Amino acid sequence: MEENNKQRKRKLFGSGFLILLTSVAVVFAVAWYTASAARALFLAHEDIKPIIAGGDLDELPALLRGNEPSVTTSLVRGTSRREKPPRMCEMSEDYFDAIDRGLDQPSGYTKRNEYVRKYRARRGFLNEREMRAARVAWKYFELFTQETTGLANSVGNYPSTTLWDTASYLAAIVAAYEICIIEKPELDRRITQLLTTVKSLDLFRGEMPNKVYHTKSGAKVDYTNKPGEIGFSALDIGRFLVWMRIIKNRYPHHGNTIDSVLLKWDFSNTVSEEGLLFGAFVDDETGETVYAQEGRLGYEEYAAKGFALWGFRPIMAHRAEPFLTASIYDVPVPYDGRDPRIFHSQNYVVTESYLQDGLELGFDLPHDDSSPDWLNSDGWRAEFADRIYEVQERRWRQSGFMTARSEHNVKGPPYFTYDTVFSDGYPWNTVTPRGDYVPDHAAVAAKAALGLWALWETEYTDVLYEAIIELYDPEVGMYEGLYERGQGRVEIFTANNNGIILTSLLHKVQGTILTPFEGDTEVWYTAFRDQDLRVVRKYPDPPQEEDWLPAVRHSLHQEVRR
Amino acid sequence: MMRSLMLSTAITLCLGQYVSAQTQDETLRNAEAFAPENAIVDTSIPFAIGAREARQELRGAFGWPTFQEGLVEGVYFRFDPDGYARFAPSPRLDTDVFEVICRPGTLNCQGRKGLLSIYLNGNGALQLDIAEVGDGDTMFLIEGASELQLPKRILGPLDERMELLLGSGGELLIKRGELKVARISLAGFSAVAAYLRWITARQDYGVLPRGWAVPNSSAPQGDPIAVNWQVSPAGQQNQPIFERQEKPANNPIASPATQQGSNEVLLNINELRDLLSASNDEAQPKSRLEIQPQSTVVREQSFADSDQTQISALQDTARALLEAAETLQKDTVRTDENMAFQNHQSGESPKRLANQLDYLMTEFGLDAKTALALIEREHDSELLQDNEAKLRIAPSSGNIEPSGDIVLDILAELRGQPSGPNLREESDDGFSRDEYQLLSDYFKSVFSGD
Repeated sequence: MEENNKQRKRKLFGSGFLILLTSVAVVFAVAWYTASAARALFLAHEDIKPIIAGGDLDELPALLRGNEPSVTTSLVRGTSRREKPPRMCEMSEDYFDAIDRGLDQPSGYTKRNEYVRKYRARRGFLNEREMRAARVAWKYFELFTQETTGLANSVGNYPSTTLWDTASYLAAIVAAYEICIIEKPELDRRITQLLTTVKSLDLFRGEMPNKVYHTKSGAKVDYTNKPGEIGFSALDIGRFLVWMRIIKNRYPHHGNTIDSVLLKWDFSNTVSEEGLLFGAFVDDETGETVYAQEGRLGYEEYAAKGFALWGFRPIMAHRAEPFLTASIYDVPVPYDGRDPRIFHSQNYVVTESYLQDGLELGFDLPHDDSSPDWLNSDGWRAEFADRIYEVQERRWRQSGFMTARSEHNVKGPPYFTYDTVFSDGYPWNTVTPRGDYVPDHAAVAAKAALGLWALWETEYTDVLYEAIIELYDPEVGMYEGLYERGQGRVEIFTANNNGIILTSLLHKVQGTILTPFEGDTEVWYTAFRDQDLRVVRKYPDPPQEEDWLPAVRHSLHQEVRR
Repeated sequence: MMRSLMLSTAITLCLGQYVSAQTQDETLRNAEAFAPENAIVDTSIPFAIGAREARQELRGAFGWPTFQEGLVEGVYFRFDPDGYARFAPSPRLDTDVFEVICRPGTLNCQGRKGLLSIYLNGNGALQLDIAEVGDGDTMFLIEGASELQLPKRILGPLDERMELLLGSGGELLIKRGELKVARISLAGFSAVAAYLRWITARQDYGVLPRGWAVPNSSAPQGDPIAVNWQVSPAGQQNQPIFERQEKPANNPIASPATQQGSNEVLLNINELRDLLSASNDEAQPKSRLEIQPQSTVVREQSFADSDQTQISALQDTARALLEAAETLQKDTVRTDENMAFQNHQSGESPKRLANQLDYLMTEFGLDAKTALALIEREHDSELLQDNEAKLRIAPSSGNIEPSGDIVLDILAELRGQPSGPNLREESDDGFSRDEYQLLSDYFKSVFSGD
């Protein structure tokens, strides 16, 4: 009995010991498994490639994004950047023998929607007559630049200006320097004084530059040059941005000043999310700021490219749509399709905006820093410009009227006219801003004539050249134009006219005025990275390939017979 | 003594006109530069009902940010703060445009259309100039087929009736012998004249013609009729016709001395008589010319007529100068007593004349010219008889002025001798003779009574 009890106890002990051993083993197994799993879990990323700052896997914090390079065609395609041409007085005698004019290239679109025009621009040294015209045109700015501010008057001795006309003054400074009318000390003095003033300008409601400023005091004024504010113009700002980019790329030592000017401005209401440009004006009744889409076919795209040169993405403003065409002398002339009766904005077709695109930007897209002058990466702009040229030449051939139409000032009321190829449903319509038809003010605009001469090397532009190249007062500047109906010269002198004439002459020497940016980073892109100011004011990051404005081509849309 | 005084006054007036013309030329030369201080007009004050101030988009650095546009007297208009305005029958303001330009910073404005220019002279009277008009040229007012010769003195300060006549529309034809030198549309004339006065009076509605549709006025808002100058909106509607409003005290150009009053009415009546005589004298040779266009005799006659016309024009000019001198002299010594005396002497009252004109134009739809002619004929029975005789002689040629038919019909009606369709007992419209007679009686009573 007792033996049986001992045996039972021994068995019980053995079983318990066995259970204990098993339990310990299980615990160890679980612990090992858990530890292994945890190890596997926590140490898994060790197998992933390490992130390199600025590499593909590095999601850059905003603090660092400003250091990225702006992506251009030369970076993406590995092509060489265009080179800044030398000043005319520094060019070798055979300089123009070596330039590629693409004379053997057939006209038309490429697969990338670039466009080769039917015509070529004039290239070469300025002859004596052209130099004289250039010096006379520069005379205007010698006479009408205010010592106190460095701003140049828009029209003669009337002391007011806009950013548009200030850009024309900058164009004149660049041209005068590059064709060796002035030297670098004067170039730097004028640019520095002007930009210092522009930086100190009192902005419209702390946002963007007012439409008009008094050139003597630098005070913001209304259209009657009295202290006040009007609003701001996206088109004027767009043109100013084009010239800021041209000067920054050509003369990098002015880059910091330029960046500091632009970093005072608040772009939050100027470029919309959809990529449209907005100007502003003051509501008469409420005094509130009203933002309104600004720009019509021609000017809108030119201004959009000015914004894009600084990293903005005004993709809708750069599109031609909605547009229609009017058949004039069998040329489908494109005009803005937005109905003036609904949108309360006229759709003037004039030469100027196409000229500026061609002369300053080479009908290229803002990211293109490598295509030759004869290949226009913003293809449809070049093609439309050809149509604007052709219809004017055909008018001359079929009616005898020399034609180079643009907006221009006139002496006396109404002071300003839109001398159009087409507007309000009428071809060759000359209208005042308030809409009066004033055919007596139709004129060969000097700036349009010499712009056409520079970009279209044809027999017709030779005629325009003869009409305009000596149309000057040697003591004041180039006249605004020549009246079509025989009333003589348009006896008024403006910054815009003289600036564009100088630009046209410079284009003959150097080709496309905009040269590639040759630096790495820009203060414009790196400033205020430690604040929310960039977000508030919508300062852009350096544009990447996906930010590029698209290159498109257009088939003919609705056509209106005339 | 009196003669020499009148002569010197006439010379002074001529010199005044010359200086005034020089001033206008200078106005155009100086109106070239934009200057904000040249703003003389508040574009938010409507020139007529329906006009609105609009903003304009400006690309440049300066210009007028606002303008006013509207429709009045059958013409569209737009004007800027500096007074620069355009009036034209089409909304595009593209053809037949009357343009107004003001001397910078002043209320001295000038309207012009082709060779024609009008402005207010130093006395506040409307003055008309036509470039390239020679001494031997004759001027006619053309409306449809009718052609009314105008006296040379339209090139001087215009009296209200001349202004009324030119403002009634039509075209101004200038002939040099038989050669038509120029033809100028008068569309917009009355609107421009009103505009010039309105600007000069610093946008005071009181100087606008009666019937001019202005905001917040008690004036009728139908088609405005530029017959006579509107009285002040502030309850002076019963002022007599042709009597202008008091100019604002701050008016730098117009002088209170230019208020013409009854003296001017008398002068105007005499001038109208001259005008009518001239037009009737013109009718007969014209008929002869058209009957025998190839005749040498007719050509000689036409030269003789041309000489006669020139003599007549010179006489008109001399008469106008004398009358102007006389008016000026009278103005200096004018009193209420002599005004009343002159009114009595003339047998005419301005109020009555106003009623007659207004009635004929509004109720019968006559143009101003015909209505004036009708009134004048009524007041000069001898002339009336003479005219009727001439018009009865001429019908075979078919060259009677259309307005003459209307005049005859109305005169016949006035005498209770309805002609043509009126002889029927019942018209096509279903009105009985009695009903028509009642209307005629009413017309007659208004016409002949005060």
